[in-house]
Amino acid sequence: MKRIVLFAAALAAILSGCSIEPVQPWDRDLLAEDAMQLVPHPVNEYTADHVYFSKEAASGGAGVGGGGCGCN
Amino acid sequence: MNPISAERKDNYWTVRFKALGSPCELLVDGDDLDLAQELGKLACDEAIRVEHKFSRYRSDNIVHQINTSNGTPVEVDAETARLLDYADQCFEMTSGKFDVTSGVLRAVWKFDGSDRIPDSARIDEILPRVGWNKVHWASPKIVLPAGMEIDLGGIGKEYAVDKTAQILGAQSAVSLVINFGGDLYVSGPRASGDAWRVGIDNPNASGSEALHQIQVLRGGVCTSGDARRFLMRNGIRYGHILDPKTGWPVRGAPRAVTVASTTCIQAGMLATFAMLEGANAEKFLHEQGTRYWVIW
Amino acid sequence: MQLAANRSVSERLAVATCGLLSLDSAHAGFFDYDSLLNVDAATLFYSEKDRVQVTEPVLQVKKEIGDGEFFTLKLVYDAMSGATPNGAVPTNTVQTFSSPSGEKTFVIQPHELPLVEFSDARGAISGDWEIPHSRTLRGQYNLNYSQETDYKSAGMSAALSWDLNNKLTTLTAAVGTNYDQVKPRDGVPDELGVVTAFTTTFYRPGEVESESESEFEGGGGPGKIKTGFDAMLGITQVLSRRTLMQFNYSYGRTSGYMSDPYKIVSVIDGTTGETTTYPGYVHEKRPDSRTRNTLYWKTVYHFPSDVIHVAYRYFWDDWDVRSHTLDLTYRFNLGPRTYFEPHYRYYTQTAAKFFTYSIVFGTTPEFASADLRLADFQSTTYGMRLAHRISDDSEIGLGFDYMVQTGDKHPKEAIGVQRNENLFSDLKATSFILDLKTKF
Repeated sequence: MKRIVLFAAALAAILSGCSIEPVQPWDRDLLAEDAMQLVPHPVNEYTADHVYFSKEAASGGAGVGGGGCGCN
Repeated sequence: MNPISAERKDNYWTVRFKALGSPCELLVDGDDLDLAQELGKLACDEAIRVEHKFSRYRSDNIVHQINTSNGTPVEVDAETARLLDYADQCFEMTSGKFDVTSGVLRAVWKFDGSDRIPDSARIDEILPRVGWNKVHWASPKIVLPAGMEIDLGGIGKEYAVDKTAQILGAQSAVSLVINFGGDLYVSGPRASGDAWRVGIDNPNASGSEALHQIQVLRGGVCTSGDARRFLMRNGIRYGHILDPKTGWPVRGAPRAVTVASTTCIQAGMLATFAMLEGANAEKFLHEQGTRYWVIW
Repeated sequence: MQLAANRSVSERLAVATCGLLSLDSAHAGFFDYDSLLNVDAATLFYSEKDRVQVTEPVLQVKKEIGDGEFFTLKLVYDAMSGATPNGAVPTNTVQTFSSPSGEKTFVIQPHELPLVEFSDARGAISGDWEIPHSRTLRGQYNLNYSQETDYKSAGMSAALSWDLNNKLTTLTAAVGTNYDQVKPRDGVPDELGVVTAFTTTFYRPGEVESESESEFEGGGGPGKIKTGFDAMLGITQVLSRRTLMQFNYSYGRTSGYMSDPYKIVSVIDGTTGETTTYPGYVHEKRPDSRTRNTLYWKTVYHFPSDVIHVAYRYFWDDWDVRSHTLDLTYRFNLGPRTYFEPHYRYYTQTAAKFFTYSIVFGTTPEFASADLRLADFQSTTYGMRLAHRISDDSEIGLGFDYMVQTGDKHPKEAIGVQRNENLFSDLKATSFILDLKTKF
């Protein structure tokens, strides 16, 4: 439970915007680049995640769903 | 580099020329070189005609005559009257944000990437000479108060594209792209049924990092905004879109707005209006129900 | 109404333009466009030293079907073959396992990890629909289905993303559910039941011919069901012009049959540590529910030219698996068209509470699995990818990954002869990934 509380505190810090410099809309040029997307290469990430999923006990985190597999 | 480039690597002719202060090109579908040259000539003639007639940098045209009239009435021809009517309607529908008399502010604002912000005293000095509502326009007569100027540059290039489209369309049904300095019109699908590919470049990115590509079958696509035209002081970026009411650049406006619409001039006006909305640009465009791309 | 007032701008402008261009409004034209088809394709060539080989092509096509509305279709095919541990521990004598029909026998030499051969194929299809509900609210809806000879899975998910603070902050809430059916070719084994004459179920179906499917439908008795539910809350924040950060919390619950029907557990003598002649081996048994939690954090930072991705995940579940994952990818831009991405990943997990190398004869555990994927281990991956943009629309990349899993070879719970055996054989796997992105 302690972990969840900590996490909630981190979320609150972000939501309240404290200690975050506001990024003006006209300064978002870099953020628009392909390389700065959260998942820049979705298909490559899919194959890598499939390997990890079939070889490890832990999985998920980045999203929900995405096809079951009898490999684990 | 223009914010928009049209390209396709097969089976069309490109005619290039310089007019309206910009590189211009005409893309003609198919392999008929004679047709391409004939249409290219017509397009170039029309672009230069519009430039000569409405440029504020010339001393032999109607705009010069109006700007030097010192408050005396000037009677204008039918085409100029239509453009002034249009400017009048745009002023109305933007509640005065789009104003063809705001050009005089450029005497103090030089958007060269430097930090030279003019004195507010100088701006206040000029501001009384701005305001379409101070102009008496009753077609075909215009009375422009002394010291004021009109500048149709914000409409002229897009107007030239649409006029050229009409002229070329009367000559041939061939599919074409008229691109005057990044403001363009596509007349229809190519003979193969394909669309013309238009890339909307990110003026901030290096190389050819196209943000979006659209395949245009028909219609106008225009961009307002220029990433290189700005002033920067104390970390604040002043874009080149001026608010005619304050005399200062619109704060928080996007770097560039691209709009697609039925005609080039509609796309151009919507893009300009959006820039004038500043930080609300995207909201404004969304409400118009038009296709748009915003580079912040 | 501001909205009505603004909307009328475009309408009034259209009328004004007809006047300006002397257009008859009936011939005022229209704007029409085609959207591009984005194609992402990749093939994974995965190879474990002496064990499994996988070839996995993936094709993803994405098309804008409306203003800001996208449809994505993904197709995946997996061809798997090779040898996989069946759960039995290495020991000091020869162990023999045979296929159900008896046509194949695997003789495992003393001190070697028991591996049995298998081959299978998997096909998966996934459809994703992304639609803006308003200027700040986007929905993403997914349906997916996959099938193997002995396994079927159907799932769906829905996610809503809400943009705040002028798109600096995005909140995401997502839920997903899936319904899986496992149908071993030779029937579902009796959990913790004795593996009789080594001829029942630890052999995975052989060839993946057309007959496989009918076998799936027909033979092997009734299948077993597993259902899952997942939920996620996430926040993505633009922290600066160069920094993007994401936090997610996910909760998941799976119920039903989670045992691996092909995995067995050695039953050993409590003093000598030798595998007993009877019962010898029993089928594994896992709990029928599992509750999973993950915290996920990702940051993307843009240096003047390069870009780094850093991700960390903490995972914990009620099987007592605790896991940390750190993932780093650095993108070096070598030129306007070429970049190089080294990749490092470190993964560690604790063992599931019912994981055991073997069962001591005479004890009756409630659950037991000797699947090394539920053991305590660490895994390190070193990778790199080189990509080149071959035209304005197309990029090709070649990636290479090397993964090593290491665990405790001589755990303190080893008994008797087990102390001389390597109870965790390191897994070494190499992957080559060829990828292509293009637009039509």
